[in-house]
Amino acid sequence: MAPALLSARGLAKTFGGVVAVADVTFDVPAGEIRAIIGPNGAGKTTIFNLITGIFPLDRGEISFRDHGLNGLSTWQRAQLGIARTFQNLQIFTNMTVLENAMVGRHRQSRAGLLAAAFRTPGSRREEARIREHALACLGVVGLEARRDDPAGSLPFGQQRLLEIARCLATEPTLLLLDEPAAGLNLAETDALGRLILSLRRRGITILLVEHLMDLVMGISDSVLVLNYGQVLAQGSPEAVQNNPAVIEAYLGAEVADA
Amino acid sequence: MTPWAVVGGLVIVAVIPVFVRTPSYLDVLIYVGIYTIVTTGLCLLTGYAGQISLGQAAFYGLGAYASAILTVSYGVPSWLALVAGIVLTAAVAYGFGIPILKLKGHYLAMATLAFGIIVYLAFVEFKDFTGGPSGMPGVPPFSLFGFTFDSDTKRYYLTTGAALLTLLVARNVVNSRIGRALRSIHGSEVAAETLGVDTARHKLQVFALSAAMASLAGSLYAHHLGLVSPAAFTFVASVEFVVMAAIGGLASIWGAPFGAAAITILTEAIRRVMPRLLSYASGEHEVIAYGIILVAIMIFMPEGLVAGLRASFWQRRRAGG
Repeated sequence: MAPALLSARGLAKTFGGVVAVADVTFDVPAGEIRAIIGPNGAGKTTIFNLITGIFPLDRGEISFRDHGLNGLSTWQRAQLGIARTFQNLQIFTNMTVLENAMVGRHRQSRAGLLAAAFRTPGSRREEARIREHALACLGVVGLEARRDDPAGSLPFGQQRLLEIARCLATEPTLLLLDEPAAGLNLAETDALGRLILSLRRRGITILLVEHLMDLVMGISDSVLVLNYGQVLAQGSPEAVQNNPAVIEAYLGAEVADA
Repeated sequence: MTPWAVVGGLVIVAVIPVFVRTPSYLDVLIYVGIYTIVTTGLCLLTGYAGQISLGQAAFYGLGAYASAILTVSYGVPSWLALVAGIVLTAAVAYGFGIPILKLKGHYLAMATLAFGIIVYLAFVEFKDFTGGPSGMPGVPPFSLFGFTFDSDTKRYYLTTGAALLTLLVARNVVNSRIGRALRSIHGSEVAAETLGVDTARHKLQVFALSAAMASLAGSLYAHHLGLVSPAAFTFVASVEFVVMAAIGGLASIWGAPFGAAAITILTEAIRRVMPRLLSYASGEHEVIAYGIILVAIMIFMPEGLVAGLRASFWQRRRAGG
């Protein structure tokens, strides 16, 4: 097995008296598409928030490319190469589509306040490169034609794509996708599946929280099943689908349908 | 903006003193320049980064007192005092911002309000430095490279030039990765963080920048009036700056000069008219009018004067054509 890109050991998080994540351990090897599934409230999004540092851990350790993440703030983790999308979209509606993607270049650019205030030649060259790269990222998800539109004017499905483009602009090593297919129609979902596979070919490791089992089982290399904040099973999509505990807890109806 | 619009605007700005010969009108235009500088800083802080300040008059006052004290008590050249004031004020904002910019919304407003009151009281109480409640008279006119700005016409060009430079710097910041980072904080702080934006640091920087702009305006004010006293740096002054920024339109720095001009000219008009309308409202009449105007603008032009007038202009054009 390849060395783990992301390693989570004994993660735990409670909110008040509610245990969101009880004791979760897993590794994500570089280059894999790993899905995290489980019933509502199983702790999937909480794990994303723990990996990105939006919530501090109660217990446990997360390391990424052999850096301990505990104690790093969200932006520092992003600087290391972790990007994420949001289940409830977090588009910058006060900016255009292109500007949203350009914010993603923040990690890969350097001009400070003074350089910006006096438009130094270096900052102008950098600005041109930021624009060019952000446009290319919009191209990957097929949004370049809408680049000058207010981001809030995009239909829902395209806002999801814009969040992905914004992440790509950061040139992430690890991309966390939080229910990217929610609210998408069938054609959009198909396109999303192909997009995720193409991102993996670009060398991006993907961690995917998703309810849509056709998508999960179609593109994932392995699946982590959570239930009540604990790991119920993990393995290949086939192994997980045939795991009796998983069928009982979660997949039963869907597998029967399929 | 097209180059012709810029040239046209500069020509109008340059020839105004040729036609405006009444001293009190020129005085109003000087204040428009000074307030434009403060308002531009507030636009960056509030309109772009989404952080509120009800203490901007404190930074304005720190600049004014730095210039007054350094030139009057220590004989420092006025340009050097101005620069020292900017550096000092930005440093104060940075240091003070570290704890308070962790607060959001109303709590941040309260903290900046408290800061403004503390600084105001310091101006009143540190009598040995500041001259106490009656202030410091005898601030010399601003001079640079041996040229002294000793008339209202010269000072009009000084303050207007400084205002244009401030707007230029603000425009450059807005159209940069820093400007986008600031707007991303306003749009979604958590998303900004996940894209690698150090939101705390950017908030501090824009807070210090807005304070530096207020300080510059304060120094110009001290050299124009020749006197600084605490009464100019009260909570009411902070509110006036916020009103100017809101009326001009927070979404764009180009609203700043319009907001500053609208309120400055309006204040003059109210000073002359209101006592005749409400003879018993002495002293407080400006506040009453501010309140009414602010409420009206928020109802009818929530995006500010500039955006509001532009929208109604296009509407009329469309209806007519």
